[in-house]
Amino acid sequence: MNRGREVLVGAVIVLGVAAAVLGSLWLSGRGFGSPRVPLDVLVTDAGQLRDGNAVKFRGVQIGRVALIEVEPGGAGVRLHLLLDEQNPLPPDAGALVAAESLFGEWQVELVSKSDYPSFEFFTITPAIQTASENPILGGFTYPDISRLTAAANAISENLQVLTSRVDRAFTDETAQALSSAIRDIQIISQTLRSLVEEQASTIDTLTADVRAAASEIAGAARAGRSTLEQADSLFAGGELASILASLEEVSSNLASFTGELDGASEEFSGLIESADRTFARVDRLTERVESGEGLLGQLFADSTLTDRTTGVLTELELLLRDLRENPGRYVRLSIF
Amino acid sequence: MSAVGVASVPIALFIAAFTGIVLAIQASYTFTGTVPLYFVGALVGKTIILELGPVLTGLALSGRVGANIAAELGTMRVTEQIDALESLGYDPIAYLVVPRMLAGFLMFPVVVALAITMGIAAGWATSLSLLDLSTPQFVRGLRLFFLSWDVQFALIKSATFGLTVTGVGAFFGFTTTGGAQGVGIATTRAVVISSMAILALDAFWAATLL
Repeated sequence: MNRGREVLVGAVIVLGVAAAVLGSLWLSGRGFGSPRVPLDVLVTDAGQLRDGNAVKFRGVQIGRVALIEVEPGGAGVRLHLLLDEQNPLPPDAGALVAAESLFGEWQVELVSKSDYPSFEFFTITPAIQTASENPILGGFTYPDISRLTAAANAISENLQVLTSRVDRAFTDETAQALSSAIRDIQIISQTLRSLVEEQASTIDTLTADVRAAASEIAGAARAGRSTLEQADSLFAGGELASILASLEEVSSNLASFTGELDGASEEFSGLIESADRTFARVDRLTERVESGEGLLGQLFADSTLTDRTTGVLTELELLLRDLRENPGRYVRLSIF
Repeated sequence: MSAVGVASVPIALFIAAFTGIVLAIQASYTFTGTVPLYFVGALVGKTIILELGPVLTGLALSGRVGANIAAELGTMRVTEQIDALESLGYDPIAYLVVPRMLAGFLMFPVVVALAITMGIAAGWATSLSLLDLSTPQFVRGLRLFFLSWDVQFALIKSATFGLTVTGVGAFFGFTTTGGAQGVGIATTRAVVISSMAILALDAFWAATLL
């Protein structure tokens, strides 16, 4: 083998080894000489996480999972992470181990535990923290697809049971009743709609009235406020005393007026008694007339007298007319 | 090592390149509408590293290297050159077989590593040029399920393929009888048996190492 061939063989070998080594390093995400920050995470279950899966912080990939191993006591799983550079993690940092998508990729996401209050992150005791060579965080693992499938299966079975019960309960009669109820609800709905439409204008008017009343009340309130303010000023200005004095004078006047009214009342009582007596006399007179006593009674009781009287009156009327027409027949006027 | 390794690189790269192209296109054809296209990278990488790179290279080299060794040693056998070596006190196994097997053991992984690199590069180029896929997407898919152990597995497997191909070729060449016709028969048998052995070994390693 000549020298050129040896060089060629060496070159091919170097190329092949370099392709294998550097390609593996690149594909596994390990930097070529860049500093890495180790970080450990304790979780109860690693799920489908594998070596080389991404570590993200706020959605940005900042490292990869270097190693996954079960803790010696079997109490959890320790994830050894290698971060690209020192990232300022939140003070209450935790790790979420979850599927990155529906297609089987998993990831570790560094989060603030306070953002996920319902998750039970692995509790890192001081003893664990002391024993750990690297900084350590508590993690929480989402259930993987198999657990979700199992849960879905359980839900499906429950639904099946429920459906069978509904099937038993949902007879033709139930269906008819339900249909009837739906129709009733439709009718009620229509009635309510028409009622609302009818009452809409009334409600508008009422609203306007209420608005006006409110403004009036506001005005009254303002007036009341001004009255109170005036009262305050009255109280403050000493005018109340003069008002009270006037009220006293008015009261005494009222008392005297009341006394006069009492006297007038007594006189009025006497007047009433006199009127009573007069009415009694009139009554008696009326009784006598009705019984035909006296001239008036005869006039009322005897029609002949009435007729004569009427005749006398007629003759008197004729006489007066004749006297008016022929005064000379009855009056003789002589000056000399 | 030159004949076994360096001379085999072009055919190995050729096969790997077209394998990568076809894988990328077929993966996109399969995935479109159902699976995100960045999984093309995952499929190309995983398939070429774990299976197609080592096996196709091994099969190609079984035809090229195994047949070559079988024909060369068979010719030496039928022309009594091996007998001459024995008469001169040389151990023909140590002189003719062991260097070839050693070359196969060392150079097959090198050739397979280059073939894998070429296959992935071809798949990446195809994804960029023919598919609606960007480099970051392809690399994301490539890294998605990648394990360093996959590469180690491929290299271990290809080393055993190298041992098998050269060993089978040397065996049939050493046991050649009957002149030129016997050399032809030995060559054919070496290729057939080494190809079958590669497939059997592939299954064996998959069952034992994965």
